Amino acid sequence: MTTNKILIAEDNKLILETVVFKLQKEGYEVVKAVNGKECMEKLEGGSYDLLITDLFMPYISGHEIISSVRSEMKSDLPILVLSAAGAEETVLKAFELGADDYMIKPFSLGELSIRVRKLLASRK
Amino acid sequence: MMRLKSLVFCIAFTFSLLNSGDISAQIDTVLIPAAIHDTIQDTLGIGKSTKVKSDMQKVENPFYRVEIKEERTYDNVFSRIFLSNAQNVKSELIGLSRFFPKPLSGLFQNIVEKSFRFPIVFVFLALILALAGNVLLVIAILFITNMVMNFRAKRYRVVRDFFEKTLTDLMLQVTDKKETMRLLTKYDRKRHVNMLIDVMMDFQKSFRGDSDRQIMEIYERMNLSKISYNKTYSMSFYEQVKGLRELTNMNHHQATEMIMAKLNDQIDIVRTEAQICYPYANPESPFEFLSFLERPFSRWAQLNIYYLIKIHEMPVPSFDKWINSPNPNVVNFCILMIDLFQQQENSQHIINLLTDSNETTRNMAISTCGDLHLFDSKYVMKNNFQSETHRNQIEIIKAFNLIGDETDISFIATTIESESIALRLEAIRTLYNMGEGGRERLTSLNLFMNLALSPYISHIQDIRN
Repeated sequence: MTTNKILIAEDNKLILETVVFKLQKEGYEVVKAVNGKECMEKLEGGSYDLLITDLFMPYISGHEIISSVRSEMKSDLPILVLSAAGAEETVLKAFELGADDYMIKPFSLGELSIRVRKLLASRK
Repeated sequence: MMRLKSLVFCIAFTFSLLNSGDISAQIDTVLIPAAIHDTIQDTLGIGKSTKVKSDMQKVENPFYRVEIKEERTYDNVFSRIFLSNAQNVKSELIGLSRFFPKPLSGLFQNIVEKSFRFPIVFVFLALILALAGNVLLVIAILFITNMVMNFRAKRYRVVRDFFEKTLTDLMLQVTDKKETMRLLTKYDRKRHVNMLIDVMMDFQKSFRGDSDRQIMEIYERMNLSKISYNKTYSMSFYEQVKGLRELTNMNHHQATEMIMAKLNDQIDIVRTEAQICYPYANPESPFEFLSFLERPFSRWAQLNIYYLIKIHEMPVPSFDKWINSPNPNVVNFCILMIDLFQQQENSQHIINLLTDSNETTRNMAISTCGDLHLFDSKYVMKNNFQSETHRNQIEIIKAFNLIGDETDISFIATTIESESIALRLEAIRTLYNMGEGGRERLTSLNLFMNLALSPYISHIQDIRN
């Protein structure tokens, strides 16, 4: 059974390390990116089964990443947005650009785990 | 040979004159060898000199004791620099000792006397060395301080990472509460405890659900809530703010009690923090604090409340509940919220506020009347126009830009004759935007009243404005 590979882009160190630890504990292979630029570099350099991204990050925002994945890379990679921005316009914009799911911080780790599982299952 | 000896004595004497200490220490009399006495007498203009009898019979060249009077003016540069100035400087410095307390006065005079004994070159050298030493000392202190701070920062990072890892293990059920508490209580210094509370707050801000309940339990069990509570009673305002923030973020039951106590605090920052914390601590009734506000309600707190409503999509209450508050800040905030959330049901309250005693309140009410298209307010605004302040008059004309019609053209036209350029401009803009009727009136005013409105009209027509 192949291990699902998840790329997570998050500039908040606490959230990044906690989520990475949680996902690794559940058996996923997790790759970290601490800003938008690093995320793009890792996306271009490897293949992943899921992308979890924040929206407001240094260098390149989450919106730009989503747009790039969908329009330039033409990838159907499942994208889960994890952001503190809960305003309707921000959420709608993320979905319009191509995000598959959206979680608002503060979030439950249990809920994140379930959503990740569902997104990976839907990809298969 | 005698000439050579005289020359040597001259040089020696000249060199001794460089020793300003000698001059100043023996300012009144100088012993000069007889061999050079005659040579230098004219050049230095030395005063009365008397031959000194030596005790040693075999002395070949007797000495002259020469008096050098202070009041004498010196004609040559050499004596001016080294004789007069040193003497004056020393006298002045010694004179300054009268400003010192008695025990220090003697010490000061001693220092002055001793310093004038040494060649001035040495004094300068000593000063240069002292300066260099000072600079080196500062560099050394900076270097040591930098090292200590780097060490502390590194240590801080290590401890913080440990706390984060321990709490993450608790959240993900790698360890249990007992083990977690045992690990965390190893660091019991004040700064570590404060750091732990900060880490817990970060967890509370980032995560929810079972995980944050566990962290809150640890917070209570370790008595960290007591530390936060005590901070709210600190003498320092920043500690009070920190305490309020900690109690609120950790959802502590005492948070509301402390917030209510600080809601009308004298210190602006503490009061603002309490106002911001209240909605977070009381999500069921987040705006009730408006009923208790007696002191100013800061703009920053207002912005935070608005942010809370927008971002967290809180249910927006009807702000008429507080529109009659005795606190003008609360009234103005309510007007702003009614405007932003388009609460048409509160329009009568807004119209009533057009006659409020507070100028800013009236200004905001006028603006809201325009934004909410409250046509019923036109009569009141027209009636009050002449008695209003200049700022509010402009606001009224702006409001008529949104709610005015052809029946208001005459009213607007009268303000065009105002001396105020700003008022005239707004009136012309309003008339222009009222359609054909307004523009016809502008044309007739321009032609028949000779008001030279063309520049104003051009300004309004320019799309950049």
